Amino acid sequence: MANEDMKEFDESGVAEELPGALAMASPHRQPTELRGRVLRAAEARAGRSRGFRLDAALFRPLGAIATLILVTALIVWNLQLQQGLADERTLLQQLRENARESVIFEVVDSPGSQKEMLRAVGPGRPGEDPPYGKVYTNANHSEVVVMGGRLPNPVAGHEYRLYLTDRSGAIVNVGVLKVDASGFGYLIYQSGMRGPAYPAARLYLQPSGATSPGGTLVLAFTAP
Amino acid sequence: MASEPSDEALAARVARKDIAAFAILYDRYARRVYAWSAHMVGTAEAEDVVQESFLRLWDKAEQFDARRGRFASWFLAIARHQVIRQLRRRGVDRRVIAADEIERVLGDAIASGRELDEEASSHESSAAVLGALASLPTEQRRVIVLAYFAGFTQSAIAKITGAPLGTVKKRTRLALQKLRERLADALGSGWTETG
Repeated sequence: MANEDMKEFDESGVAEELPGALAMASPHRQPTELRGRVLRAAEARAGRSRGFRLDAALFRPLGAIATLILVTALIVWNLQLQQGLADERTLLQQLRENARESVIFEVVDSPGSQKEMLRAVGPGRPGEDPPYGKVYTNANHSEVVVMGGRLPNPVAGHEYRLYLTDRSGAIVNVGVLKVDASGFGYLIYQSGMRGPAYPAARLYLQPSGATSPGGTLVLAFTAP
Repeated sequence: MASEPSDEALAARVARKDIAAFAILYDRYARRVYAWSAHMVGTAEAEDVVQESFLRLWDKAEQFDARRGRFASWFLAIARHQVIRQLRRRGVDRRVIAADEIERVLGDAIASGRELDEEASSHESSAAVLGALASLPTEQRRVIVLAYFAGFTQSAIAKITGAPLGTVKKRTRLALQKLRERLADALGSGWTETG
């Protein structure tokens, strides 16, 4: 029935009496077991409802917290990823502008290339992005290419020196990473073997001419 | 002697999942819903209608607002929705046949002298309305039954009965007016319009 039609019944005030009138006149009698069935169904529903409410009360806040943590982690991860990609693009651009040796591009940008991220160690300087770097090796080449960016100019009598750790644990003094006015520098290390691999790398700011790790650790990479 | 709790007070307890209050409301209303459903959709499905109607009461009791109307109106609207939902699976012809049977039962209620089911409704008003329905002209009783119990619109009733829509509206208005007057007479000055 349309709402408008029903409204007339409601306004008359007699609609709610019609089922009672029919029930009085009707020969139909409800089965005796129906009452128990309906009451049991309601009680069963109440039990489920209480359980659901308890579960919901418990898990709703936990779910919200978990979602918040997940979203935050995704945002941080995405920002780090974007920053890493931007850093890498900057380094490669600077390398293209500065490097003269063609082998660098073969190591860095050809099939078989492997790269590891050098990350800043220690507290950053207020208001400045931290320095960073990359270590490139290539399965088809023996050279190791190391780049660094946003490195502060070393104080007089000091220099950035890179040390690689090979698979036997031996530390190799790779050489000095000279940086330009923008804080960018690179070096090429001839490993003497095709496809070298290093599980660790350290860049120290140390007195000029040092031959072993020491001074201030600036960048580091350690394979997991 | 303590007075019986009102339907509205019981509904408030059902909203708090009071199964005892729910049982009392069941006892007050199940017979009405069952009889209506049994006539319209058959006894087997009538049990489903009763169960579904009361489980909706159980689930939705907190939505009932006594300031907006009586519990009887609210709950029977739920039951009516369940009956009509079942009726939609049936053709118009079967619905009309079922409605005609209701109309005959109501019409014969007083005239046949058959014993009425006094337990069916605790409301004196139901008996008054039954008496009024029995005394209505057949065509007026029929529009009430087709509209309320069988859920037909007034336009559909016009097609079913072959009467103009204006006539159907007039019969409905007159029938409701008589029922209302009869109800007021039966209940005296204490009766007030709820709509």
